[in-house]
Amino acid sequence: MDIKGVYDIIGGDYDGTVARMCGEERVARFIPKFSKDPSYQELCDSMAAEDWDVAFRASHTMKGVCANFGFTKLQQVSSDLCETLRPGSPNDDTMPLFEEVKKEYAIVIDALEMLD
Amino acid sequence: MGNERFKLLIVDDAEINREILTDILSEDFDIIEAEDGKQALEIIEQNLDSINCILLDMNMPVMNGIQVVEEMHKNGWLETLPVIMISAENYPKFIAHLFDLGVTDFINRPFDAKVVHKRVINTVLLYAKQKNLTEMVASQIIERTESTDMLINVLSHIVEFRNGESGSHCLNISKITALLLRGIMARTDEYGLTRADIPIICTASSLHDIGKIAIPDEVINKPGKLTDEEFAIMKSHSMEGYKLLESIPAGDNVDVIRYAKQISKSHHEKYDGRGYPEGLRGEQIPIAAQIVSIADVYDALTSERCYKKAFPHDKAIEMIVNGECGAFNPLLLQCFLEIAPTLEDQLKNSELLEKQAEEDLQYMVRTMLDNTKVSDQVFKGAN
Repeated sequence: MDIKGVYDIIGGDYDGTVARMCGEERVARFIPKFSKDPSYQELCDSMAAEDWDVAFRASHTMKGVCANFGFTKLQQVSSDLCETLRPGSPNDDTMPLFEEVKKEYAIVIDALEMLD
Repeated sequence: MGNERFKLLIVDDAEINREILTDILSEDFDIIEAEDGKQALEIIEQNLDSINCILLDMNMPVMNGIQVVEEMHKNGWLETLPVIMISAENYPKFIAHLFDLGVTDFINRPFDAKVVHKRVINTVLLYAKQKNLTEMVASQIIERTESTDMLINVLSHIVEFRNGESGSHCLNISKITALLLRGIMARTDEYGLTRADIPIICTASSLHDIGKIAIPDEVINKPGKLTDEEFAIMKSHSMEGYKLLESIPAGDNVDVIRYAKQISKSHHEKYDGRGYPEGLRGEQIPIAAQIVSIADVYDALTSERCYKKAFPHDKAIEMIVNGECGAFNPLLLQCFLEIAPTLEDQLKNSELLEKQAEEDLQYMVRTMLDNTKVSDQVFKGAN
């Protein structure tokens, strides 16, 4: 699958990202590294440990990284999760949003594995 | 700067973010990376003069971007080192706080590679130009000050030459004045002196006897004792010097002239009121004149003149302390006694004094430039 195909599957902003990164070449070079970014694992670990400060920071980093890659859907749910954690402790939306993040993250990772 | 490349510090806990920024900027810049705020501060402190710009993430472990900026603000580093925040953070409260602290720019994620590239270049060039201009102005001021000093030395040499003095009299007085000023500033701030005043007062000290130009040759160079009438003429040199300096148009706008007027008029006043021309007493005598007075007495005692032989250093100190040359400010006498043991050496071998004088001059220029910065008060709209 080509890069545009990946963006179609995950609900990402292909055109915008290619324009911001000044060409598909840079996007192609960097998106395979997305799965190596440790923020997601950090988020899962800290949610399990109920370490909300770390969970806030990890979700914030994911939001930023996803924004740069134009992974719009995953960016949105990471951002929503991040905001529920900003006060320092979770609220009723936190867990459902975390499930959303896990679901969207899995979609992105699966799609990236199908890259040529 | 030469052909040296500009250096950027990229601070972000996510490696992938650092990699993308490095990819965008490494063609034009040398890049250093840090993965949290604490590491960043260590690198900044060690490379304060070589880093040209910092790209700083906001949320990081150990120490976040806001704490980094607060620390830089506290240390005054933001004056010369620009910080551009790059963050997905869009909380207006944080952004306003960071701008208040002195952050230069704010770039939101997702960022456009071209915009990042251009903004970094603009910021780096702006600061580099300002630095160059500041250095140019500083070196111009130093050059101008040095040539002013040279001209004043020429003037004081003319006076000395005519008096048959050694030629090093004014130089010695200037050096002793610097030493005493440092001593008095270490003991009290009652006189409101700062280090930036040292070069000015030292330069002005050379003009202390400028009024002797108005005294006839036969009085100035009379080998024997002066008659009462001749002594009265001789004593008029302090007022003559003051009048001469007073007649310089707009002289009062010039610090050196302001001090030179005090010094020329009052350097023969005594702390107990028994000096001339006005019989000023105690702190009525301007501190610059008090200091030059004691320096003048010491150098006159230890030099040969047409009417006297030179006294040895120890004898001169003894005479000053015993009050044989009139009363001095006790605090000033303390300062004088403190420098006395090494004074002879320092006057003969004045490398250290010259180095200090140069540093004082640089300090003076830095103070001047700091005081002329565009004030934040000009901009009121933000609040």
